[in-house]
Amino acid sequence: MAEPKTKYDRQLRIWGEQGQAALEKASICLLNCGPTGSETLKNLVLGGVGSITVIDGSKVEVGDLGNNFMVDESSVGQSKAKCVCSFLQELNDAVKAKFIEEYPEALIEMNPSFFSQFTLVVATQLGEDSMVKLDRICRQANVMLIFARSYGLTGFVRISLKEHTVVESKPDHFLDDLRLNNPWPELKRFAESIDLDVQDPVAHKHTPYVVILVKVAEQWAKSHGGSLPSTRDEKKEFKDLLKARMISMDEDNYKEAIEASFKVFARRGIGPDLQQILNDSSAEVDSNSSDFWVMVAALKEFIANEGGGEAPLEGSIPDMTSSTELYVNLQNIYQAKAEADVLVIEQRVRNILKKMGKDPNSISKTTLKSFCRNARKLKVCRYRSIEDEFNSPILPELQKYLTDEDYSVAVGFYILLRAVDRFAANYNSFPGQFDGGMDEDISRLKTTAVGLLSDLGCNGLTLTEDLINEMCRFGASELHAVAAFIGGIASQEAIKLITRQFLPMSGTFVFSGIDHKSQLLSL
Amino acid sequence: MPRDRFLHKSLGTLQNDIQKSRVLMVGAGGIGCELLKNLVLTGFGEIHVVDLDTIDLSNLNRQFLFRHEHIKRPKALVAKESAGPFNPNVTIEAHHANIKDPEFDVSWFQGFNIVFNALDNFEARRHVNRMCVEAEVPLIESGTTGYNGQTQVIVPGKTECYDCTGKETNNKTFPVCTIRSTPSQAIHCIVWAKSYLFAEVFGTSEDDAPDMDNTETSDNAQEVEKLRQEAQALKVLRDSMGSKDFPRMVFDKVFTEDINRLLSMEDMWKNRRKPEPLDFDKLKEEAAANVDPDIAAKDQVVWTRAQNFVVFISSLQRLSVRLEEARTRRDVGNAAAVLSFDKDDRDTLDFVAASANLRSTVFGIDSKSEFDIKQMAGNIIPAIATTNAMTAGLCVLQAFHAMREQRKIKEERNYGKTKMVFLAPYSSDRAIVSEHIRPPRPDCAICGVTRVRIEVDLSRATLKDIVDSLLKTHLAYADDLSVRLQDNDGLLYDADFDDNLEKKLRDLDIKVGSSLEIVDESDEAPRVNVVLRITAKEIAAEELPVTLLEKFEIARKPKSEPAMTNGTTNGTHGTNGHSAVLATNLKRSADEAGLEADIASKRGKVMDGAAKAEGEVIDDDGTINIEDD
Repeated sequence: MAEPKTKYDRQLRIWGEQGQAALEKASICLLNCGPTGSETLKNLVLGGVGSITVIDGSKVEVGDLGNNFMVDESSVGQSKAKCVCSFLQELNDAVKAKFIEEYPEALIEMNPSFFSQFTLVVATQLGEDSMVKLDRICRQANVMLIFARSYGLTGFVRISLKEHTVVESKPDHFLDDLRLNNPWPELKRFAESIDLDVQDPVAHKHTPYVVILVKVAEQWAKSHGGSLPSTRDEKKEFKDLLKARMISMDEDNYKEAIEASFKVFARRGIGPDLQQILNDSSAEVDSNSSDFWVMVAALKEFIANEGGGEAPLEGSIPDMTSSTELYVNLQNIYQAKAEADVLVIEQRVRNILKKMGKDPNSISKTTLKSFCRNARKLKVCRYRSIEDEFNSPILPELQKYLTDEDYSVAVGFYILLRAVDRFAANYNSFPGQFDGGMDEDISRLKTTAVGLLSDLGCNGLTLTEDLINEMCRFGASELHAVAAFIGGIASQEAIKLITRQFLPMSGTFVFSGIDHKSQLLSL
Repeated sequence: MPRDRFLHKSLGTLQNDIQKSRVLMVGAGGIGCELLKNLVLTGFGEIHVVDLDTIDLSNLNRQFLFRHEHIKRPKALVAKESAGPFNPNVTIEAHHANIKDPEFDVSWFQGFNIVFNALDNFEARRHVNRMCVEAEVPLIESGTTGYNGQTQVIVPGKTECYDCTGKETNNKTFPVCTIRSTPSQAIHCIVWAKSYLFAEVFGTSEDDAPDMDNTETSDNAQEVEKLRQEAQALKVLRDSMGSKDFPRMVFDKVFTEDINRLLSMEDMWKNRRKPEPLDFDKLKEEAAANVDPDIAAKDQVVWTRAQNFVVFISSLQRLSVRLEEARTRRDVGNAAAVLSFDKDDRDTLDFVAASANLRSTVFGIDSKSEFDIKQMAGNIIPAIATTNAMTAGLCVLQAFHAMREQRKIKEERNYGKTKMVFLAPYSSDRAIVSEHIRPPRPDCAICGVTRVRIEVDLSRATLKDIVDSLLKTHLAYADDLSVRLQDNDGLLYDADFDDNLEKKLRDLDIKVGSSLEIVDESDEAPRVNVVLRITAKEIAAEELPVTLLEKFEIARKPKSEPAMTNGTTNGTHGTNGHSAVLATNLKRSADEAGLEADIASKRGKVMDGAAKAEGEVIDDDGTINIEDD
């Protein structure tokens, strides 16, 4: 085994070779390399991203030694970007690391086209004004963007991009695709060929539960006008029917059938999440549509036609009690159907591409296969622009958060994190940043926060004194442990975005180290 | 601007306590590297690190204190070297040792303000938990698997301990006949290759394999005996190692002869697909025609029969050479040279993968890629930097709260702000889930016990002095009780075993510092378990040679529902007098596990570090614990 494979072995088991290849192709830009930024990048460098560019205009001060382990006494007075960059390079020589000694604010202002060369920008400890501008730049250039900030015992992470589509969303729990309540002809025929009342007890206890459920469900449907059990009583009756078929207590296959009977009760057809994607206006494809939406368009046609309301079959079956012969036969039947479905989707995709005037073979067979296998789990994430969120947050949500006990700390810190920037703009320092004048800072921060709330349309609402006091006490410090946590989140989201696997966080993630809680705010 | 300015600001005077504190971190792996860095930068005054492991290439994607040039060096020492310079005001002590070593006793644990677990296995976690409970030191427990992570604060007497809830270990064992005669899944063939074939040819015998159940029953006695002879015959082949024919001999033995023997047992195949023996010459021909000799490097494709053959032969030769070398090196020694399976040792992995796949071919089971086999045979837990970073960050924040409470007098401490925190990577509405810490469970076998010190005159005290005079007379225990020595879990006394009563404690290996566990076995309102800790004292001859050092009350165990006391659980613990108690525990914990699973499905995955659903498991090379899929 080649060395990189061994080095990355433990993570390849999460995102596979394709995910790793995407990481190795990615170029990441970091704005500000304080502890939050350094920690974020450390995790990405260890994972083996292609290249990093560290941007920071400041020099290392003694205070930095207390919260950033990438700088030491010998770095004091030197470019922070340079020191952090050379430390990061030591962590993984496969990564191309470079730095630019420049303040991010200046770069955003003077050289917006600079950012278009990157796959993803991680912007840390940035003020509101620069966030809005950078967001605009990255959206225009189709560069993925993650904001992260640590502030005392609180912090936030926010992803921003127009649209992120995921085929391999890899949900933790998902119903397997067995079609017990809607078998296709081959599966039905196979079930018919098997006698549930077989005399031989060994054969009886080795009839796979898939066959048992398909047959018993069909019997039920016949005697119930075509419908399957739906009420509690009916479901119980159905399970009793299964129980009655057991000829001895040790028949594991029947126990499995009873346990899996909810798969018969599940509703046919596709779920609401997928339906929403099919209904999306992007599913009406034109020459600008991405491959994802072209495949969705084909999927929509498939479901309406060959699929008979169902998505392509996944094609795998779980382990179950069965004779080897029956199990292998079943496996083949599921596989064959899945392959047939892929062929239909492929044909439809090629036709759509042709109509769009594109190369009909521009989407590979592997991509199509993966799309079909994951068709039921597709995800589309869209993020509001920072400007929209900051200027006109979704008011009902904001009001709900402010009055909901579960959200009050998170939304309080969210408001205060914005208020401290206004504070700094007015008073040239962050609240509590310098010793003395704490009482004055507290009342100023309160006024600022109330003003911000009223600008956002929440007149008359305020935040608790405790929270405001805490915020002032933080004095704009970046604690290492908090930065490590926030950096961990930011890098994890970066990996999800780059690998296009798993579902990234949907709103603004706000963390409170005071009570170890977090919330995602959708504003 | 001093280096700790930020800490003083956000933490206030707590920072002084942190600087003066002595903390212990057990484990310097994925979480450990992150955690040590956090502890050093947060300024914990003296940090002890214990780890028995050495550095491996596959650690480098996350254990950032280690570099390529550190491979094979002890983790604890390198971690100290790398993290020391992060903060000159912090002292790090490194111990390249097993935390279970006797030098790390209760009094050693008592020397710490707080203990952090950064471990990868269930056993060591339980051990540290127990030591912390005895030493009354707060423990911050943590674990990660892939994107999942968890931290928990354990304060003895105030919160539940690690053992208060049952942990599913997922350790899977397979009946010997399934592995040796009638495999039906790939995992059976992998266990066969790793725990039988590899062990017989290069290692120690299969009897020690933890993943095979060699229990004989009346049903399988005959077959088990046959299998034993078969293994013996394989062992004889070892003598031919080094000869040119060796690979062929092994191949013929296990893929032809043994399969033919199985085929001769016609009853076995009435309802099963018959195995098909392989032919060495035929495969050799197939392989010569079209196999890329570098096939072993392609670990993500499923190899063909001929490719497996090539890898089988080449890995067998590579391993033979290594074993021969090991033998010559120790020609004066008397211990036999052996190789052991290591998932990161390419030769052993190639051999196990190819053998497992060839066996799968014989039994008509789907082959697996070497990458997948590595995961199944090596119990690999997926691991990444991001999850460890988050978890370790949370551990330190938890410690802040625990330490803040430590400053108060004992009675007023309240650990309400510490939480049980789970990373919830699959949840759409948050990234972490925190739960309130639960109180200790009164019937927990670890923290639910009463501990007392007794003074004993070891020159003359007998077990009888403890059982009759102290327990039955003084403390009014009924006859139904058992006494065991905690150090080695040995039974000393119970109602049916009184042989030791007249023996001196000294002759029963009871020393200063030993602990005796007293279990009340009576049916009516039994008391919680009591642990007696022995201290020595000369006591005047006319007095009883055993004295209680403190007054104490022994609580009664909570009532258990009748259904739970039937002792029918698995039989895993039922070897001694207190099977009824354990049965209760097991049953309840199973219920709780169910509850946790429920929370998991609602809020993202609950994981337990030591255990995890769906076939990803403990990083402990000894056991196979993959769920079927």
